[in-house]
Amino acid sequence: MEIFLPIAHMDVNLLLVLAFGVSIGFLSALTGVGGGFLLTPLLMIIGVPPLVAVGTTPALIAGSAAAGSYSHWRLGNMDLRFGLSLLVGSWSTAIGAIYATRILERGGHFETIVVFTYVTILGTVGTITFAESIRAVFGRAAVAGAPAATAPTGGPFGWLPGQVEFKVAQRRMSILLPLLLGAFIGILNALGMGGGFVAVPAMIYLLRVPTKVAIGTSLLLMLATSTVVSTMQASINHSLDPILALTLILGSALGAQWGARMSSILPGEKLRLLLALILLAVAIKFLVGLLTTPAELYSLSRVGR
Amino acid sequence: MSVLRRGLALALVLGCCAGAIGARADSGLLTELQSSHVKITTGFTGQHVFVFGSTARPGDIVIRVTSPDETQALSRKSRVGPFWIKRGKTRIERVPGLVYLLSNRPLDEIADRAVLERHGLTFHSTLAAAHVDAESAQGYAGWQAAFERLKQKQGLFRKLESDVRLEDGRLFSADFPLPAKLPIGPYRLDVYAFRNGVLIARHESTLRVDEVGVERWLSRVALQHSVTFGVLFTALAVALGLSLSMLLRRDRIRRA
Repeated sequence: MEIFLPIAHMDVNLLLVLAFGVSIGFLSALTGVGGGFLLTPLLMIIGVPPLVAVGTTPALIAGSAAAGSYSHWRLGNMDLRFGLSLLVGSWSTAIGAIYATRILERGGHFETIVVFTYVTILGTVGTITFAESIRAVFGRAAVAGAPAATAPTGGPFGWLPGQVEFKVAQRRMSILLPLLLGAFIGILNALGMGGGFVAVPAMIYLLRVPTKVAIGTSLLLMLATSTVVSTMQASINHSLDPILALTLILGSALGAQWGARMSSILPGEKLRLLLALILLAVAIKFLVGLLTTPAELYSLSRVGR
Repeated sequence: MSVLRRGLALALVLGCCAGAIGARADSGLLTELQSSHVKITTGFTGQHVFVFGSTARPGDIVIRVTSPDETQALSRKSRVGPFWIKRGKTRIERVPGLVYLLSNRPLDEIADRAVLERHGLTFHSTLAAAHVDAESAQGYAGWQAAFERLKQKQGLFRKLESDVRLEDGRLFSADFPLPAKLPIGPYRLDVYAFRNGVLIARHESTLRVDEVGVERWLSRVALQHSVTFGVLFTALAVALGLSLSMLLRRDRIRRA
């Protein structure tokens, strides 16, 4: 069943896009990893222009992060002061990155940057997840869980200026740390990757924030950053395709509920292994594309959207 | 279907001739489109366009269909270290997005290449008015060949050399498929009548290709009111994410 996408200006199989949404929702419900960084390259593989793929994913992330944020907010797992510091960082770089996207797209370099970024990020995350889940599946008890937040102050970054008390996170740390982390997440988000897959481990392992607070605050960060990125991608780069976004949101909501139902039955660690393999496969596909001599050197694209 | 269409064509052409309505060129070349409006809806998967007409004298018929001129970006990959990457893009202005050349027999048999070139009946000659940004055009010499090749691959430059059917030498009809992904705007449909390799008549008509309904509304809102669209659509995405998850969760709890 073909459907015409008004902004991507192409037709796609509606059921295929719906299936992408369902898989992303399903995988993120089961593995706890949001799917933006997988969805954007999948859309590119089926021929959605990189700019539109990158511009449409944030709408989906905003939708699913809203659902997650709400329940974590009710559970009190959010450190608002910590979240706001992260947001100041992520908003600044995300806004900058969206304007940079416009310039890079005009010059014809955006696709190259997106492809290289995805090869690197998918390759790295895929390898780490693969190694972790292999250890978990084959039983040699992985050191699961966060390091206990025994020392409320100090730690490796204790010497930095601007120490601030974050109450819910039970941590005192330099405000520069969430600002910097947020700044990195902002760039990832503007490239259509969400960034929760980097934010959560960074908060837990580097900043020693309790796991629940890390997840809750990361969802808040995803929601608030993606909302701004989605709005700006639509208004500045004209790259948010409404039909594509709606189909994906619907699919992912269904997939997430399905995943939540299956979570007690399916082995989570084996699914993480599956996710790792998918990530590596996509990374390798892009890498092969970069390394092999293309049959056609030229390509055409539309101008003046 | 085909018989019905031909019958219809014949009836209409005869009607046109008799009543002298429709479009008439000096030399008695007449053309009509069964429908002069192609509507792109959300479910658009391409459409057949049916053209018919008559000439005063028997000969060959060539029909050129062109979409409005537009600007396209052409990029070329080159090798940087071990990687093949796109290095910038060149803007090519004033090129048609779609060119179809329909004829009753191969174009080379109808007229000499020089004649065809002069009347814009080769892909190459339709690119004559194109303008390439000189600054970024380095390394793009001979871009026309690449452009033609890519357009042919996309099905937007096509030669349909047996698509025009001649009936008793005076009446002709053609039925060509427009693809799902096509440029929008007023298309030109030029009909050329050749006799012994010489152009004897020419007639022009137009075909509108527009987005209609939801499709038109969405692309207009998204492009012309992009800030409002961005804010409202993002709000919708958030609201939808929240409400769908609550709705589906309640459903799950009830079932459990």
